[in-house]
Amino acid sequence: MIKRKRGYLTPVVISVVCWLTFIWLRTFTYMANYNEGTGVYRFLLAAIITMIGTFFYWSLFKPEESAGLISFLFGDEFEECLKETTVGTTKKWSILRKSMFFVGCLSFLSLLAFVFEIWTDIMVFTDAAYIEIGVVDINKKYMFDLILLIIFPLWTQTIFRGIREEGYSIKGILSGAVQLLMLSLISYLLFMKLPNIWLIELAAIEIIIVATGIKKYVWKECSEKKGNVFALIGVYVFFWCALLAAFYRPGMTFSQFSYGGDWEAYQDSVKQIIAGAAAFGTSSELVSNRVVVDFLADRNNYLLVGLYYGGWVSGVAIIAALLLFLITTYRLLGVHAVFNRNYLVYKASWWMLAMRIIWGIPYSMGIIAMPITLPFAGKIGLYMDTIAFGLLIWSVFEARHIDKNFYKNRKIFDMFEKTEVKIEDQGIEDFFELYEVVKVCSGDVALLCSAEEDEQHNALVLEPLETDDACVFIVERVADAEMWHDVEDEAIRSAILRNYTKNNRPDCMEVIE
Amino acid sequence: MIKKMKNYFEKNVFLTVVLIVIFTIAACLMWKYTLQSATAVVPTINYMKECICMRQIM
Repeated sequence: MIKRKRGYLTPVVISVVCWLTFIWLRTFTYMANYNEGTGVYRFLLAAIITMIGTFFYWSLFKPEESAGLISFLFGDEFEECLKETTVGTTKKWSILRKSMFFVGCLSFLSLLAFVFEIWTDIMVFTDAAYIEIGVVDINKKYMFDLILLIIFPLWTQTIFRGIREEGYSIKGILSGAVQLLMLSLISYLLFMKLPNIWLIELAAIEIIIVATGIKKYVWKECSEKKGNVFALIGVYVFFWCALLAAFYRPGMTFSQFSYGGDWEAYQDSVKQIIAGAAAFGTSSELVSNRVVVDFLADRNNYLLVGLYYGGWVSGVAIIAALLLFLITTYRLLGVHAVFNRNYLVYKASWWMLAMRIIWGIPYSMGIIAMPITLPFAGKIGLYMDTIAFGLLIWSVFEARHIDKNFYKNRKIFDMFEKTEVKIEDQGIEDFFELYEVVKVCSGDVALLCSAEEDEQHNALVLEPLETDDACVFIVERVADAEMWHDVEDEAIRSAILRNYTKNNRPDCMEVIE
Repeated sequence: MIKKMKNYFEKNVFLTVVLIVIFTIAACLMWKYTLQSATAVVPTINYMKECICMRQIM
């Protein structure tokens, strides 16, 4: 019999519980340590609205169908627009060429703005933490995560698709590499006035996105030239190191570069909390410590607050919850995550949350001078981390469709314990899909299946409808009889299954062939 | 088991709506109660802090 799988329910439930726990801790920290008061539902409501908004806007995003920006940039609309202008040529523009046009324009504008701000008094957008458009001031910190989570990965995967479309030619690879460097330069110029830790995070996640893109789109194609790929990744890492080095001053230590403030004072306060925390509950030693009390005031670190108010039991429980969240959110990416069309977006979302944990815990304990807030703890982080988590939850819906496409090639005997079955037409035809619903019977056992004919091999592919396990039966009619049996030839079975899988591929799936 | 429950709730839509409403209210109350009881100790801690400071000054 076919076994049923539990799927993604457990990781979704655990990660949602962790998410609510972190928001609870964030609210508690605010209520206990901040001078400014807050309602009990304030952060919870904000997070739920952000989550719903993420689902809504992400569900609207369909690159091929929507009339949005991406469609305009890389779809036919842009080409039609070009034909109407003098720039247009009769030759069709490839994805890579369109992308190069836009990246080139954007990087030219960014560099121009940068040059203006260096040599003139004109403020454009690179030289401040805010972008001023008329009377409206937009904080760049609100744009940071959206660019890092959505725009950069989407554009990167478009570039890699373009390289694939060009058949991995030298010209295509060079164009793609230059575009990636220019995209990174634009993001650097946009956020260069933010504290250095933001740039370090930007560099780390962009390097990860590019490396993930290479692994997905290029790795299989360069079995003999892997050294060249490593060299290209090395150049990209070096490029980021060079950009970061622009903010390094001689004699600067790593903590001065990444933390900015007095790292030793921070470490000293954290050491006092760790040393003075009770095993359970609030320690009287910490309560009487004026340095610690001042240190925790208006600080949104729920791990340290947990140690202060709840003792080591709370601290360990919070670390365990953070690690559990890290593992379960990774599971949300799906078993066949690499086949997702927007794999880079989901991977970037996971890495962003992962960095908050991987760097956030040691920073909270005063071990690494990387001031990154814990997940959902920051003022902006609450919204941005919720967007990242929302995208991961969304990826589960897509992962279920993708997993279904990996059909198991089953034999009739596995299910019915007989070699021949009878197929009855149920007379239900789904107008939206190209299959018919049939009832497969053998003795007392009956199974509802969708049936699709493979005309080339004169066979029928049956997919059970009422089971969670994705499998198919490939059958052919017994000569001069109403019965059906398995196709015996394994090569033909594989070819039929390959065709069936290709025809039934969901929109969210992308196979690199 | 999960599939059976899913089918049952799909057939009894009104029951599902009522259960969702009750569950949401209970969850909100629990959220508020746990936060209030956790923060209730904070004024006591603040009072303790003040007493200790006063003693140190005297």
